Amino acid sequence: MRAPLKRYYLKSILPGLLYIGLTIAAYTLEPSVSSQAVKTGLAVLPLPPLVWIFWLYFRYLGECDELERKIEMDAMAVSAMTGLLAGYSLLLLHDFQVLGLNTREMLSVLVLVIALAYLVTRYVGIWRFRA
Amino acid sequence: MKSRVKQLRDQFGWSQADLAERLDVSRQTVNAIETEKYDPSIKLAFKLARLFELPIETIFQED
Repeated sequence: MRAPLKRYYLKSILPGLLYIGLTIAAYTLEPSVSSQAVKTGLAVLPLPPLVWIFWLYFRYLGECDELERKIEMDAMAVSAMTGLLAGYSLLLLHDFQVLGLNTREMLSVLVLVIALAYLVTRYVGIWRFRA
Repeated sequence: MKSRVKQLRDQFGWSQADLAERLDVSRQTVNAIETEKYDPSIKLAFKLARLFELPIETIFQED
């Protein structure tokens, strides 16, 4: 593993733990809150550590060499396109009442599809250009 | 694109890791250029040309 990727993984540990902690805190506190404004605040509470991880990822991209960056960009492009296609398909399947999924389940499927598309494309890229 | 990088690297007696270090890229990138799976950017091609002290067109040729 090259140094920039190792650095990115190591630096992501703290925001990753913070994200998990804040998500648990938000779910724990939510039942005792009645104000919509406070609930909204709790809902966005876990986002700053995620933004931190995205910022670290963009810094990692800047430290990648050109082939590593191409592999990452390809993976992001494929996952974005897959997300669009999957989102649109889910919408139509929902409207045509083919799927009995609620909004939460649909969003979970969409996030999972995007994450899987990114991971698979990235590893295909690494395998394709393996040394 | 046809690449003479492997032949030149052998002439200089460098391993892929040596060349990668000199170019500040991964060994994976050097290997992909040598096996013609990846065409380097113009910036990296210039770096290679400077390193091997040759014009770019003698290192890389169109198919």
